[in-house]
Amino acid sequence: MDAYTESMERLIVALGKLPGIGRRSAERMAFYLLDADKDEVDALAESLHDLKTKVGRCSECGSMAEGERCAICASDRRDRSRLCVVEKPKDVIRIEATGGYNGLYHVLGGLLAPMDGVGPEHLDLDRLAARVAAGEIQEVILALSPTAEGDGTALAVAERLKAYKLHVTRLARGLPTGATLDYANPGMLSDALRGRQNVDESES
Amino acid sequence: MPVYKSPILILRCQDWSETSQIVHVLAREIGRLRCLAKGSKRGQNPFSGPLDRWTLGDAVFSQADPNRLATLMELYETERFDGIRRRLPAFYGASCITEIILTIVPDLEAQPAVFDLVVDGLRLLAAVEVEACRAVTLTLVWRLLALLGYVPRLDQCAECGAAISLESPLNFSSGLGGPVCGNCHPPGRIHHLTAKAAQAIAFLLSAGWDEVRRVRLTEATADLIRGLLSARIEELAGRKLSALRYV
Repeated sequence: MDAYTESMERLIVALGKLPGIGRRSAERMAFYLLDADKDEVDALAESLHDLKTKVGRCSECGSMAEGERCAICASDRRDRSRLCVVEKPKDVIRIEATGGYNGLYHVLGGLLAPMDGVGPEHLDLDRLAARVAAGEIQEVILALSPTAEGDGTALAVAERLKAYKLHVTRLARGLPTGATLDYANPGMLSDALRGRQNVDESES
Repeated sequence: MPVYKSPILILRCQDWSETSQIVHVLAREIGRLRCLAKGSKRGQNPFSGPLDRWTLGDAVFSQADPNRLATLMELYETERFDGIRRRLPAFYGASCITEIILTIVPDLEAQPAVFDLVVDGLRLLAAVEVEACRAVTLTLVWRLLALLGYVPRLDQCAECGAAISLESPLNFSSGLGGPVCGNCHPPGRIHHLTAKAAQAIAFLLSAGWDEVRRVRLTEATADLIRGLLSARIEELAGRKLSALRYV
């Protein structure tokens, strides 16, 4: 568009490629950055640059890391007998935010989706099996979404690990906290019934 | 805006926004279509929770224009085929069937018989022993193709109509989707089938489900049948199926 300078147009096009950002929102952001302090814009540019140059994958768990290993894998205060298997690095952040888990993680890098050509060979199962084979891990917790693809992935992981003597568990499923029974579907209710717990255990 | 009611089977769900999904469904009375399920990921919604693949239910939806997304207004879940999510071979089988529906069943063409076959097939896959999942899946695929008119008779040449015996090896044309006699040379790939494999296909197409679930296909026969199906569907759809190789 002729009304914009070349740099401005380039920025608008770049911002417009971000998820959920259309041309109008991109224009608004570009004008904000044009008016912002130079230090603020420099800091943004530097963090964007660092994101692509410094952040990589942890060689152990596959989550985000700046360096060879992530802070969780490098920590000597984590429980190394437990391994939580998740789909993507963002799930590690979610589980860490609960403050209720102190073990290690393993990021699969996706979910089993045979219809889209994603089979078990496309998930990071070899490295998972190697970590389990090392012998320190006693429990593997499958923290995958309770969707068809999440369930399929859990089956594929369990299949891969069945040769090892370890406790494989999955996250509880059923009613979300705060939901009412009126809005629960039969699947949720049957999961909740299957996974019911004693009242005096519910706080543990 | 016209409002429709129909039993539906959810084939695929895609996130549309933080709270909504686009669902690809097979509706018994309408055929295959895509719907926007507004607010389906909210805690309280008219669909009783987030929508997921292989959910069967009674739906209400509206569609102003066949070329645009329909809007799913209500879904009352009736079945979820839990057994498919508990056994890997059943999961692969259901994925394969779903991919085929998404690939070759035309949009907005009511095909109640296809819907019933698929629902019965998923029910069976959810219930049968792990060892039977492969035969059940391949049977479902053949019967689905036959129902859609893509499998001619196996006892006559698909080109000239001459009688063909299943007692000896035969040539199968993936272009015509059936056997061809020695005098016919249709364009496209020709697969050489052993008599055993040809008889297995004929059996899968005609046997009762109770018989099918007792079948244990050998790896070699399963390979032949998979190859044949893959080539036939590639001819029809113009692309390879992804999930078939895991069956």
